[in-house]
Amino acid sequence: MLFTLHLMIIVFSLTYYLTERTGLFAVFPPSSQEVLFSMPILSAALLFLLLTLISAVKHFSDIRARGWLLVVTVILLISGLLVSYLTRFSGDVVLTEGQTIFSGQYVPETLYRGRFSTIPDIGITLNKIIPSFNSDGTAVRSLRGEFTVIKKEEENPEEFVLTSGLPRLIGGSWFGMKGYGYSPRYTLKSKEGTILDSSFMFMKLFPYGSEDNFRLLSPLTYYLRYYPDHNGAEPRLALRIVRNKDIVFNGNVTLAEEIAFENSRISFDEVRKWSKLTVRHDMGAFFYMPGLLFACLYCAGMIVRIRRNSHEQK
Amino acid sequence: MTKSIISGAAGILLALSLSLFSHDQGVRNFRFSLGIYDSKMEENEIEETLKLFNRNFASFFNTGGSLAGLNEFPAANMIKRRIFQEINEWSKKNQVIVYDRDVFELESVDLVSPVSAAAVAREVWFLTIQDRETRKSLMSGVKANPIRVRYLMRKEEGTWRVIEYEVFGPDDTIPELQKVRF
Repeated sequence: MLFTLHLMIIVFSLTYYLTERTGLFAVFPPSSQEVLFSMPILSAALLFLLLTLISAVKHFSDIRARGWLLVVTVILLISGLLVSYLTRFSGDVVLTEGQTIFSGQYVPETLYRGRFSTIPDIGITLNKIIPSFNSDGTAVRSLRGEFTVIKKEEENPEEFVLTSGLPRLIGGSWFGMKGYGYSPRYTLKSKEGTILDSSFMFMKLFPYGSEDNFRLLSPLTYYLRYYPDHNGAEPRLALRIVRNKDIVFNGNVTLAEEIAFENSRISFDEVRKWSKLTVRHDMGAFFYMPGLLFACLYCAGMIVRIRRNSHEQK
Repeated sequence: MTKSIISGAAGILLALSLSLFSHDQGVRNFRFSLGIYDSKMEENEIEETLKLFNRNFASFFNTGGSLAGLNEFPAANMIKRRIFQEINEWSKKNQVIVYDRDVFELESVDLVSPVSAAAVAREVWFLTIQDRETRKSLMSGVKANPIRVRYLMRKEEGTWRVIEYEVFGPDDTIPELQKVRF
């Protein structure tokens, strides 16, 4: 009876996970985290844990070392999932070179806060990004970021380096780096030359030819494409200024070149690089990481046993 | 063995049912995922929506901001805001900008999901600036404005609406659509 229930829960969880992730019945497939932290999966996991404990108590004297390894693995993996659901904090923050962020400035759609999670209380400055591109410059091979971290309890800021694909533990949270793009700094002036506004604008302008747009307070939309000094050519921007459906300007501009339109002038004086800093803080990892290790050990043991049995049969 | 098969089958059935009923319009989404969906009907609806959008768009400008048709205007509030912001700017100068549509050709419709789509249209508009009171043209001629527009659309309560549009020059390449959840 217990075995059939265990089997049903495993099949249910796998089917539910795959159905959700493929988006068979959904408008957009949810992320792995959203599915794992959904009520059906959490309830199934909790039920599975209870059944495993009941089964372990019932057959206490009959269970061998291998069996206990499996029981401990199940307990660790499921408790890890539940603790993670309650304590996990994850969020991405976009940082342009020279920019400092403090906790709370995360991209809303990347933010997950468990009921008992804590937000890492530190400030981080991105000093420099060193990208490495593929041969034609259309994809980033790796990123290296130089940061300064300001912790509340420490007086002196600490320098550290992050490489994409290699997260680092800082102040109890894992920091990683992903994504790459350009942040041009626009300067908007009046016809007479008075600076009205100037700011860096984080834009998805990588790889070359990608277009993004921004708006200020007027009904104008500024569309940009950025072509950096690739193959020795002078960096340039393809700029299009549109007022509702009227194209006011459409052409190429170089850095710092002023474009006059209507009663204003706009220039793009500087382009810096941006990347996304991923911040993860998860108490569940203390459970599911050893759980995964035990699961590997259990599987390795099973493979050894099967091979030994097949040799003995020969 | 039979028990195991039954419990496995029950697990699959339970998971599929739960997934189906936990999503709004799960059957419609399922049909869309499998490609057995009446996309032609959606494309026709999108085309009609865009015609209505452009009709209203032009009449807002041409009337100098008359609110007639605002409720049926199939557009997100941000678009309405941008249109009336511009109309007000012209009004302050006692002028109106007149949008006269010459060409509207729908080039493509890409159904991203059952509730979101991107449509590209080739349009030609003739623009004139007129005195608000006398309606006399303040330009020596008219400005021909050939454009390509990519409309990002969303179906809400069974009706398509434009949630954003991007304007390109007639010879500009249109960048690949970022298929995020829109």
